[in-house]
Amino acid sequence: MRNFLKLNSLVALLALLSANVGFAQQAAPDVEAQTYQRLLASYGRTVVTVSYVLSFDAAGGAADQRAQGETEATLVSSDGLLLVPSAVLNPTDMFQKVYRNQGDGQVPNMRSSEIKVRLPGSDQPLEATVVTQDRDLGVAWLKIKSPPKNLPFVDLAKAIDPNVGQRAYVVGVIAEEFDYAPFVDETRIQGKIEVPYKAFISDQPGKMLFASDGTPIGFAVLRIDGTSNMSAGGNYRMFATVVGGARLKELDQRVRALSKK
Amino acid sequence: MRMQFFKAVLTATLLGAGANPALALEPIAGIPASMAIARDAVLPHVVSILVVREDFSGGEARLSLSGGTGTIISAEGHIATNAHVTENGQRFRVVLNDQREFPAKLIGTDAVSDLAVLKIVAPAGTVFGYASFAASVQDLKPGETVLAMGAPWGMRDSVSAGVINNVNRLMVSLFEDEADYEQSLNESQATARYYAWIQHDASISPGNSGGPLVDLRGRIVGVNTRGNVFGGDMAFSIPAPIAKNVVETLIAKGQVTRSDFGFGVRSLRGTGLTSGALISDVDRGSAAEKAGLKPGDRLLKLDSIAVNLTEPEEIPSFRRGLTERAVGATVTLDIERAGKAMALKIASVVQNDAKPREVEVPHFGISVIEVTTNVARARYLATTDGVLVQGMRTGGPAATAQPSVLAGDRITHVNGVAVKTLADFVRLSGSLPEGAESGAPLTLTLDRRGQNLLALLTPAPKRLIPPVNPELDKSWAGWEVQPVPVTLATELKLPEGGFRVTRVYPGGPALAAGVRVGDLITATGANPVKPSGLKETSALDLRVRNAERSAPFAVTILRGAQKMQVNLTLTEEPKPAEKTERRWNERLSITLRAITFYDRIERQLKDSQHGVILERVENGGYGGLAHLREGDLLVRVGQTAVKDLPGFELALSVAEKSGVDKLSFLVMRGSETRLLFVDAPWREVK
Repeated sequence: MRNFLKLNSLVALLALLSANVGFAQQAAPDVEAQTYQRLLASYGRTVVTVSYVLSFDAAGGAADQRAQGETEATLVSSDGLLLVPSAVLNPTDMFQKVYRNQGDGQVPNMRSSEIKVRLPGSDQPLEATVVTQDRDLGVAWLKIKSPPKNLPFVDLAKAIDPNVGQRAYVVGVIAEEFDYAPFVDETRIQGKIEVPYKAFISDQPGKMLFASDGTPIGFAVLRIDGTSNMSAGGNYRMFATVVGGARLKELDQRVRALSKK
Repeated sequence: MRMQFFKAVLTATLLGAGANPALALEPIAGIPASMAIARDAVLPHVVSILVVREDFSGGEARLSLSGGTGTIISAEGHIATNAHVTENGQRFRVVLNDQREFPAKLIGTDAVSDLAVLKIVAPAGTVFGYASFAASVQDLKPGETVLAMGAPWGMRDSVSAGVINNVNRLMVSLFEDEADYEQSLNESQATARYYAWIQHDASISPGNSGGPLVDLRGRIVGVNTRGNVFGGDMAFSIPAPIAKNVVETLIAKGQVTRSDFGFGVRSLRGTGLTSGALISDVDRGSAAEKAGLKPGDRLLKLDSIAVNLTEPEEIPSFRRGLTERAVGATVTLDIERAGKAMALKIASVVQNDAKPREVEVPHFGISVIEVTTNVARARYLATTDGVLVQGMRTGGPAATAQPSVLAGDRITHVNGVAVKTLADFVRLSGSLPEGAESGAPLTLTLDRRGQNLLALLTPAPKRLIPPVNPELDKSWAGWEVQPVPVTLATELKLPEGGFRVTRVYPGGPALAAGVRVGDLITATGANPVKPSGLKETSALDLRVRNAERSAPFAVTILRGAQKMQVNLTLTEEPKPAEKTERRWNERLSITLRAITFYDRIERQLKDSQHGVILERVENGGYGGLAHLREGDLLVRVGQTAVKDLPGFELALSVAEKSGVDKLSFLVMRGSETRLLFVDAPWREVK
C-alpha cells in the first residue's frame, strides 16, 4: 500500500511536471492581449471622428475669425448619440483659470458649430447637432441627424464608478492617413475628487475609460491649470478629470430624454 | 478713405518743404492769383463721398464704409472722383459744401486712369453749381502754389496748400530697374502706364482721394490720387486735361474703351542705344505674338514715324497714343532684330483691364470670379471658360466637399453641365429653398493646375451666427463673491479666508435666505471653501452650480465676529448673455439678442422695460449707417415698440409696409435715449 501510494505520488508528480512542461511549451495565455482584443472588438467602431468650425468673436464689428477642427467622440446610443469633451464646443473653457489669472481676465468667446461626424469605414460626413452639455463636468452630447441604423455603442446604462488605483483602458483612433485605425491604451485611476463635485483623476483625456471586462467606468476630460502667461511657457499643468460611470449613467438618462424632444 | 499709397519714400531732407508756400503769384494772362480766388472758385463744389463697399474675404462678401472726395463738374450733379474711391461700392452718399446730403449713383469707372463719375440723385430740376477742369496745364511749373481740397480722414471741406514739385512724375526711382517698375505698374499702379502724375506737397491724407488740386487762378489742375504712406509731403494728382477727357467719356459712354496691341515697350536708358525703343514684353496669344514680335526687338518706327524713347518719362504718352487708337486699327512696326530690319503689322483688340467681377455663392461657401483674358493670362490658362474660386468659407460646403475645393480651382462643370461664364455658374449653382438645412449633393468638375478633379459638394445655408449650444441647467445662489485668501483675511483681521459676498441679486435664493453683502462664506455643507487666488471664484461657483436643488444648500457664513449657518433653496441659473438666442438681420446687417436677467441688473432696467440688445453692427450695413452701436437697447423701430426678437422683425415689416423714406430707431445707450435715422433700405438707390 505504501508502495502503491508512493507510486501514485510519483505518477501524480510526473503528471504534474509533464502538465507544467506542456503549459510552458504552449505559451501562457496573455490576459492583457485578450483584454485589448476584446475591447477593440467591442468598442473599436464606437469611436468616430468629429469635425467642426470654430468661431472666434471679433470685436468692433469686424468679421469673425473661423477655423476648422477635428476630434474624436464616442457613440453612446445605437441611434447616434455621441459623448465628447465640452471643450470641443467651448475651447476656452479649458483655459478659464489661465485667462483669469492674467491680463484683464477676459476670456475670448470661441464657439464650435457646423459639426459633422464620420463613422468608421465611411467617408460620408453626417451632420450632427448639440443635444446638451455640462461645461462644469466637461462633457457634451451630440446627435447625428440622420444616423444609419443599429450603430455600435458604449452602453452607459452599465456604467459604474471606478476605484482609485484601478487599471483602466481606453479605445481611440489614429490619424486619417492610417484610416483611423482603432487602438487600445491603458492607464490607472489616479485619485478621487470630492468637491466641487464628485469625480476621479486620470489621464487619456477625451476618451471613455473601461474596466478590463469592458464595463464603462468614466469619461476623461482635459484640464489646464496655471497662473502664468502660457505664451511664456509659464507655470501651468495639464491633467484629466474623470466623470465617473455612475454620474455618466445618470446623465445619460437625462440626455436620452432631451434628445428625444 | 482707402487712399492708395505708393511705397514710402523716406526723404528726411524734405522736412519743411512747402511749409511756407507763396501766398500769391504774379497774375498770368491777366488772371489775378490768390488763395481766396482758388478757394472760392472750387471749394463750394467739392463734395465728401461716403461709400458702402462690398469686399470679399474667406469666400464671403462683407460690407464696410469708406470715404473720399469729389468735385461737382456739371449742373446735373455729375461728380468726378477716383475709381479707387468707388471701387466695390454698393451705395454712395455725398455731402455738399452747403451741408446738403444726397444719395448718388455710379455712372462709370475707369480703373486705368483711376477716375470715376458719380451722379447725385436729386429731385428733378435741381441745378448744382460746378467747377471745371483746366483744359491745359502746360503752364504749370514746379514751385507754383496749389491747394488740395477734400475730406482727409473724413473731415470735409478741408483745404491745404503746397507747391508743385514736378509736373511729369513717374514713380520710378533712379535706383530701380525699369523692368521692375513696369511690373509694378501692372500689379498696382495701372494709371502710371499711360499717365504721368503731378507731384505736389499740399498735404493729403486718406479721404482726399478724388478731390481737386487747384492752382491760385482757381483752375482744377489735377485730381488727387495718391499720397505718401507715412504722411510726409509727397502727393500725386492725375493731370486735369486727362481727367477731363476720361470723365467726359464716362459721362457720355459709361466706360473708356482702349486698344490693346499685345506688346509693351521700355526706354533705352541704360542700354547704350540712342534711337528707337525696346519691346519689353509680348502677350501670349496676342496679335503681336502672332505677327512674330519678340521681347528685345528694337522698335524704330511706328507707322513710318521714328520712335525715340530714351527716358522712362517718355513711355506713358507713347503707350497712351497706342491705346487711344480705334479698336481693330492696324499699326506697322519697323523693328530691328539681331541687325536685321523687318516690318510687322499688328491689329489691336479691345483692352480688358476691368477687374474681374466677384460673387459669393453662399450655399457653396465660396466666392468666385469670372475668368477674364487677363486672369487667364496671369494664371496660364488656355481658356476663359469656367469660374475661378477666389475664397472659401471655413467649414463651408466647398471646404468640406470630397475632395475639398481650393482657392485657385477653376470650376468647369456643375453636375456635368459646362460652365462658360460667371452667369452660367450662378444659374447652375441654383439656390436653397428657404429654411432648407441642405441641398442635394452635386458634382463639381475642377481644373486644379491642369488636373481634372471631381468633387462632391452638399450645398448648405450660410450660418451667420453660430447657434448657442444648449446646456444642462445649473443651480444658482443669486450672489456675486470675491475671493478672500488667507493672506488677505489676515490683513482684514478675519479669522479665516473664504468668499466675501459682493452682491446679492434681487429675487435670488441668497436674498431670500438673508445673506448680506459683506458676509464671508467659509464652507458649503461640511466642506470648507478656500480661494486659491485673488481672481478665482470657481471653487465656490462650481459647488453651487453642481449642487442638487432637491435639498437645502447649507452655507457657513462669518458675519462680523458671528459665525452662522444659512440654508439656501437654490434655483435654476438665469441665462447669461452668451447663452441667449441671437438673430441676424440681413437687411440692417445687425445681430440682436434678448434682454437677460443680468442686463436688467446691470442697466437698472425695470421689469416692464422691453427691447432687444444689439450684439453686433456691421458698419457698412444700414444699421451701421444709422449709427446703431453694439450694446444699444433698441426699444422702437419707426413707430412700433420692440418687445422682443420676433417683435423687432414685426416692427421692421410694419415700417416697410408704411413706406417711409427714413427709418428711425429709438435706442437706450447708457443713461441716454437716442433717436437715430437712416434712409430706409427699401428706398435704396442703385
